[in-house]
Amino acid sequence: MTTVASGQDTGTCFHCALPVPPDCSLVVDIEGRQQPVCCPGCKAVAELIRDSGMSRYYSLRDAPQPGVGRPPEETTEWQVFDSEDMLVAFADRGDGYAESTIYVGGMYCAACSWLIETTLKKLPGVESAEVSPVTHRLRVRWRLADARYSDLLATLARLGYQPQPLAPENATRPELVEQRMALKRLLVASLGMMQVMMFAVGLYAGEFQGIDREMQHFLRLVSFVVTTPVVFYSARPFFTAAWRGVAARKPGMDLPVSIAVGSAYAASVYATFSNGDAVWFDSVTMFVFFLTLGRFLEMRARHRSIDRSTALSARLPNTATRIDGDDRSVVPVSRLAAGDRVLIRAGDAIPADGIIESGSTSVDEALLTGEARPQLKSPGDLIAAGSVNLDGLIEMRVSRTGGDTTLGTISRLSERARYARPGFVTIADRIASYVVVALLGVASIVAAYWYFVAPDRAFVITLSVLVVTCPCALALATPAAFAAAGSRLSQLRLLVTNGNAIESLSRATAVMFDKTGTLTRGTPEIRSVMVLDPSMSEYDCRLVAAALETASAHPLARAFSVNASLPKVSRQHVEVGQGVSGTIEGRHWRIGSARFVGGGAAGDRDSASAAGTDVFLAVDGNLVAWFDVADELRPEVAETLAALDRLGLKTALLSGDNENAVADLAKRLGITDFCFECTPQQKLKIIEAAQQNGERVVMVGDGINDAPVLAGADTSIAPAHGALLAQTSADVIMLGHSLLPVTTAIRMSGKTMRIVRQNLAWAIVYNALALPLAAAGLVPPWLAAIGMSASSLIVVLNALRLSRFK
Amino acid sequence: MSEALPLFAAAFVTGLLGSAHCFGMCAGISGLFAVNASVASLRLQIPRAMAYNAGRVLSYAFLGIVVATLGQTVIKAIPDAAAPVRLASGLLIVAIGLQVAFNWRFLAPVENAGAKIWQRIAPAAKGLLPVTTIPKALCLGLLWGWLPCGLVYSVLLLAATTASAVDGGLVMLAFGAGTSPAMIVTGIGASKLSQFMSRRRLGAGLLIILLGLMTLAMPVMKFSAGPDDGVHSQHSM
Repeated sequence: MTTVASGQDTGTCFHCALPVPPDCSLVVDIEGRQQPVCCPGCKAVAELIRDSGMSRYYSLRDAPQPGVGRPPEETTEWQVFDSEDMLVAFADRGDGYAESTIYVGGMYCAACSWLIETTLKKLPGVESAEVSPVTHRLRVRWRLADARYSDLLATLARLGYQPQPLAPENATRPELVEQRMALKRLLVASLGMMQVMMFAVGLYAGEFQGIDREMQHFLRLVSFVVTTPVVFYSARPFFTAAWRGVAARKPGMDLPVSIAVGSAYAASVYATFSNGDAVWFDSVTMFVFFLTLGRFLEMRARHRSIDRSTALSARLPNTATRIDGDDRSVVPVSRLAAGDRVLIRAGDAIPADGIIESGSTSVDEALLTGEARPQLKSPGDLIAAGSVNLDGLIEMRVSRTGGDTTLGTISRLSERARYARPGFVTIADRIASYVVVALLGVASIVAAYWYFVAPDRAFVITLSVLVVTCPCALALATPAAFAAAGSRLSQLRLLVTNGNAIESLSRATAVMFDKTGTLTRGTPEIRSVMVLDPSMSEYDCRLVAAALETASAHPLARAFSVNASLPKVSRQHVEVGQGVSGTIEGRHWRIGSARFVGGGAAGDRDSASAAGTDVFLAVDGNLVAWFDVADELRPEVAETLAALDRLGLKTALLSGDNENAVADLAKRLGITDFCFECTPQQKLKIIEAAQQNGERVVMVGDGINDAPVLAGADTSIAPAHGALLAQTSADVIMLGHSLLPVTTAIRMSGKTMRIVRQNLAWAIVYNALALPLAAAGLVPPWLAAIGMSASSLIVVLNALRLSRFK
Repeated sequence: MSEALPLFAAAFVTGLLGSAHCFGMCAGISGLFAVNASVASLRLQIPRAMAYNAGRVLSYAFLGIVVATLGQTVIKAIPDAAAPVRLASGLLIVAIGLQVAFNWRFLAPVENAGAKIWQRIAPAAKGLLPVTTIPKALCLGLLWGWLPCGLVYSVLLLAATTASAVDGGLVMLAFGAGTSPAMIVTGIGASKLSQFMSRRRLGAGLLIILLGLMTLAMPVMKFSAGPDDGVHSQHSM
């Protein structure tokens, strides 16, 4: 184990790790040990850290002893990463060396990144190691001849971190690269602006109090040097975007920005070297800084929801223990296929969707469902990739892997949500072109006017006009609000997959609910069975029912599944929303609603059940059994309906269930408007009728049997049911258990639209006021830069209020 | 003002390139900002790092004004001090360059004295840790400016030779501004920059020495050019 220079005996400073000068005998007492330090400063800081009770900083910084992170016997597990497969999957290889990106779990702060870098670089063969404390990613490069991948990973694990190699496509997620670049640009712009502003204060003070020519020239030169990277690095995206716009004949707001920045910079450089009258380096850096800041804030809002899904994918393990007969082998998760059996230890993340074969445990599904309480799972239960096995040792049969898993689907849907653009944002973008052309036209007229009236002021005034009227606020007004709303909604575990959903939700006047799986949890159970045919046992009835229901996708069908071999069914037929029929051993069976099963006898039984749903089983027209199937209500259903009521929204319950079950539930929840035994066609008709009466209908339903109903509503919201998630076409997907976010979404959509309107109004008023002032020559460029920046910052900050919406 | 120019430049470069030492010493501060939060987000860290640095630079500027005022009284008391003082500034810049390049600590005794002052300040600093708010970060920065540090003391000496409160403050401001980029990014973990700096200590030192030599040469050049401007040690600001 290589130890980090902690200074005990190496003659380096305990605090800063620089060499201790020979004549220095300063020491500091840390946790009972005298540690040498190099100067009174280091001594002072070290004592301060100690006295604030933060000595932990040093123990975090210094390498822990082997075995602290993981039990030593487990470190062999990293050796699987030395295989050819793994290197192909997780590293880029060049001539004799390899490079890989590793997600380092368990990092605290900058000291951690320092520790990791120093430790890794001391390993033989490691050429470089860089850690980003922001993204927790380590980029390491090593010579294949001198070091093994597993050594690096085991070292990280020994330091107490949880290394996770990232496949190149994950490592270079475009939004991370984008964010890192944007951050660098912002930093350069902000540092540049601070320095140039300092020099500018000197220059302005000089103008009032008199300044040496030489001094002025020097300050201008330094400003020039500092402004140059701000223009060519920080502002580069504006130039490239402007050029793209021009090339596509659709000039965007980047064009006037680029003209303003470019011409002000060029004129200032000219003035600097020709000893001209004025330079505008301060305006240039300020303009670029605030533009970059506005874009950065908007991008952060856009990315916040993705951070979440990146975290999701980071939770998947890289390897799984596959069981082949008596053999156990560690394989990459990418090699797992449906049907494989895998062993999952306590504390490990579930590598794929599957069904527990043996062992029971509790799992943490918080990432997938938002449910914080551990969920008990036993053989036969489904467990989803990305959830964490908390305590038991289980064996699982894999059913779905990779992108087909619930986790994969959620990631894909969030991806779709990110690219969903509301229709009128696109329109706004198109209008922006005309606005930009008009502004450039106005600027040219102003330039021409002043050229004839006062040629020496023409440039400054035109510059101010360009800067002050930059339609940034206009362009940011809508996307910023939508990005903030989207990220807040994803925190509430609502995925918006249709760009128009927020707008249409804001106009909603009625909310219609499906019953099973929407108001209820969708995990029905048979509460009791009444067998009417003495020749059959309850178990026989259950087996037949289970066999018939295998064909049905109705949520209630799940109540019937049993862990046993089922009789064979032929000519199985599903009547959507009604029931299933089929032939078993020559006899014709029907299971489903009273009406579907037929026979007057069924009608008699209806009154017997006051809650839950009645399911009838009949053979050749004779009633055999009656099942009382109950499905627990989702949490907070009553609160949700009450909240919708307070918002003045009509609520209705559309269900294919029988009258008793629906009426009872409606009464309990206070819904007066309900329909029962509805076919999907009838549900659609009800929605259309409401729409003809001027209602804007939100349909909340799982869409499993009634996709057209969801499609027919103005907005559709679907709860996520694992298996069927991938097929959903709903505008909004509810990932959590509670219904309450539905009301939040509706309230928030209204607020979002209000903020969009405020933003647009503000942007228009600002431009309408600022343009004449600037054209009249009343606004100097620096004030123009402040005005324009303030107006777009106001827009962005106003939008960001949404991300705290409750 | 123009004569103080190479002094500002030297102070700025010293801050900018001489801060390799500060990295090692103050990298922990970013840790102190974040040690109890599992991961401090950038959104929190940047404003705090800015506030902390603003505080630190303000302290430097204040110290600069104080020592320069002291310097002014001393220098004014000595007749015909202008040329020797200029010479002293130049030599001091050269010494700072040597300090940066070779870690030659010619102000070690002053550092020990500074440590005594710090002992009075430390209890106040303790109360500010861990840094959880922007005002706390600002206050910590204000106190941090008083940490015993040879580099700061040497630039303070330089500030004293300006014999003008304004120029003295500006020298320290330039120095603080120079250290700021490094100190802000330590908070955000640019360890690369720190390595870059420590490898270039020699170059940085030589650059500062060059500025010192320019300062030494300037009065000579000015003198030979004629007594039109700038020869007088007192000037417009």
